[in-house]
Amino acid sequence: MLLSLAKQSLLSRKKTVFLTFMSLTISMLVLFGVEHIRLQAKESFNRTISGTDLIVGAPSGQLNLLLYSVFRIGSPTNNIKYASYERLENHALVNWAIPMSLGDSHKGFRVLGTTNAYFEHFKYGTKEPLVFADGQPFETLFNTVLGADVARELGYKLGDDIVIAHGIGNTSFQNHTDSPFKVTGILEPTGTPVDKTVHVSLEAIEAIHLPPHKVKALVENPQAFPLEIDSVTAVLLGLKTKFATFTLQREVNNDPKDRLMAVLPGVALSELWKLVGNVEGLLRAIAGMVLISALFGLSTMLLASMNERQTEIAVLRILGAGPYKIAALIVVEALLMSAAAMVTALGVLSLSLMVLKKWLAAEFGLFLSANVLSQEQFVIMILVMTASLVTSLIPSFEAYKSSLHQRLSK
Amino acid sequence: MHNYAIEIDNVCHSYGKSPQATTFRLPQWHVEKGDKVFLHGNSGSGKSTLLNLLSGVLAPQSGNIKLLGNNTTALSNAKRDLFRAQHIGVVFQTFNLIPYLSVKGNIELAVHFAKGSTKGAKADVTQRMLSLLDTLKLSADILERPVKQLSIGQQQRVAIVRALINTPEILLVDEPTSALDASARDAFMEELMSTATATQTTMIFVSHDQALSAFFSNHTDIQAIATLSNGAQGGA
Repeated sequence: MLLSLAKQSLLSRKKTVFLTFMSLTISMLVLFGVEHIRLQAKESFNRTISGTDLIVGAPSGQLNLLLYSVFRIGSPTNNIKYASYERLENHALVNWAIPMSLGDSHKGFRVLGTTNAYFEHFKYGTKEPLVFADGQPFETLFNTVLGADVARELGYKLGDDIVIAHGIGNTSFQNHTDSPFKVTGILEPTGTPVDKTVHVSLEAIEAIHLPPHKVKALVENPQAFPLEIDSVTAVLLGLKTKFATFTLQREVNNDPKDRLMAVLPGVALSELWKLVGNVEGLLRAIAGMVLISALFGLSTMLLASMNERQTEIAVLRILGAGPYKIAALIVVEALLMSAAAMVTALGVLSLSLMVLKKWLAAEFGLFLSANVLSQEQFVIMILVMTASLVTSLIPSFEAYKSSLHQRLSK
Repeated sequence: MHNYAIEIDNVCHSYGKSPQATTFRLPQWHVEKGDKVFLHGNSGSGKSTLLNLLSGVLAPQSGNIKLLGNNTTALSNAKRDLFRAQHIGVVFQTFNLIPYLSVKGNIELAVHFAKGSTKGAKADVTQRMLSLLDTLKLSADILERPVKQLSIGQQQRVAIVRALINTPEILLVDEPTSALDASARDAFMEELMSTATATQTTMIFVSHDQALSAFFSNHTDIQAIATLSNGAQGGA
């Protein structure tokens, strides 16, 4: 009864209630949005790479190396010698090595030159390996393996011929129309940048940078002449024993033959997260303040309505409603509004994530789930309702006081 | 032992705590069960205070108010609120109804707050609602209408239905006709009197309009039973 009374009472004050509801909804949208993106970003960052002990690249910052080798964001500053990769692969402490050659694109998706070791050893999430949805790794020069999103968005199937261009971006000046690749494999979705990657062999990367007539010769006969690979962008290493990680890192960093840098993915990830973390803390604080101000708005709205509701309170009093019941009515009204705003905010958030999902993944490498309900969000929902309860106590106390002193007639 | 509906014994109520505060005193007053009392007096003579005390919205500082044999001054606030819901009906000058609810919603609210009352099941309530509407010459289709759409006269009749829905033993009425014109007033008074007689309700009817006294046999002047004084005059 109290609930339906509160509902009817709110509906009778549509205009002020609607405006307050809007301000609550928007502030909650900000709060839940920030929180969701924070949680999802952290999860998606951390699941991008696992099982790799060291990432080796040209000396720059460890963040830079992590960003371009794992997240495919930004451009490599420098390459390392192919000979360095070969030395690392044959190193006594190294179990496996994945070479990576970046810098080309296919219709906006990054092209990664690598070897079949990539499909065998690369792990993500909780040490999950890459799985072929269809097909197999590359066998000859002009073979390619596509990430799940690439195949889905461009509508490629096994056996299709595609063209891979030099440079990054959709409209490259040099479209290597003469180098057709055949799709030999398509990977299962991973929720990592792998889904947005076109994989080819290291030799193929060299081939597409050759003059057109040479490419033509290669297409006709892949063994026409030997391809010299002189550099790679980065190398992912898996070691025989974890204890060797620091030894090898030191050795790589002091390599006399090439200028190299080795970073631990975990350390680089946490440094990246720390960097983002400051911004995230600030965002959370701002979102919290916005919500608090909206809650004060709610409280003000209810308080301001007290004057026009004197007769209503008088009627409730003579019907036998005690001051506590009238105070409770105000609290229920506030909680109803907060709950309605919360449901709307979560709905809008979920809907907009569904719509923006692709764009966020393509543009920022953020793989966000549209499911906004998580344990952390529940904690925040409870906090929001508690805060609504606390702020509603101000007008509620006012209603209590005025109903105590309410007289039956003037 | 006489069976009174209302017994007031040495009641004293002050507005505020300062010694200069206005004090209402009523040494002794009885109302027989089923009586209909026309309580008149100038404005500011304590009529409203008496109504507030009888309904239990105000609690006196000292003295006893016995309603239907229950000493309501000894009850807790919550119990007094429940007692009011179950045993007392109130009709004001205006603003008797919650504007955003339908007529039915208003009446049901009165039933809701009187919960714990053993006076009948839901079917009985609907039955009583319809029969009261009929007695007060209101059609049943008014139930679903929002209160805002009713005329003042209709609103005051609905207020009586609302006040009588829990079959209260006591009905307190405060200048219910002040917003009505003369012909509407007479019709309203006749319906009120006949309904109250039919339900054998004890009624306290407060008004300063002597024209209405013709409807009553029991006339009481508030100034004859109670005094309202400020601290300076009344002394200690």
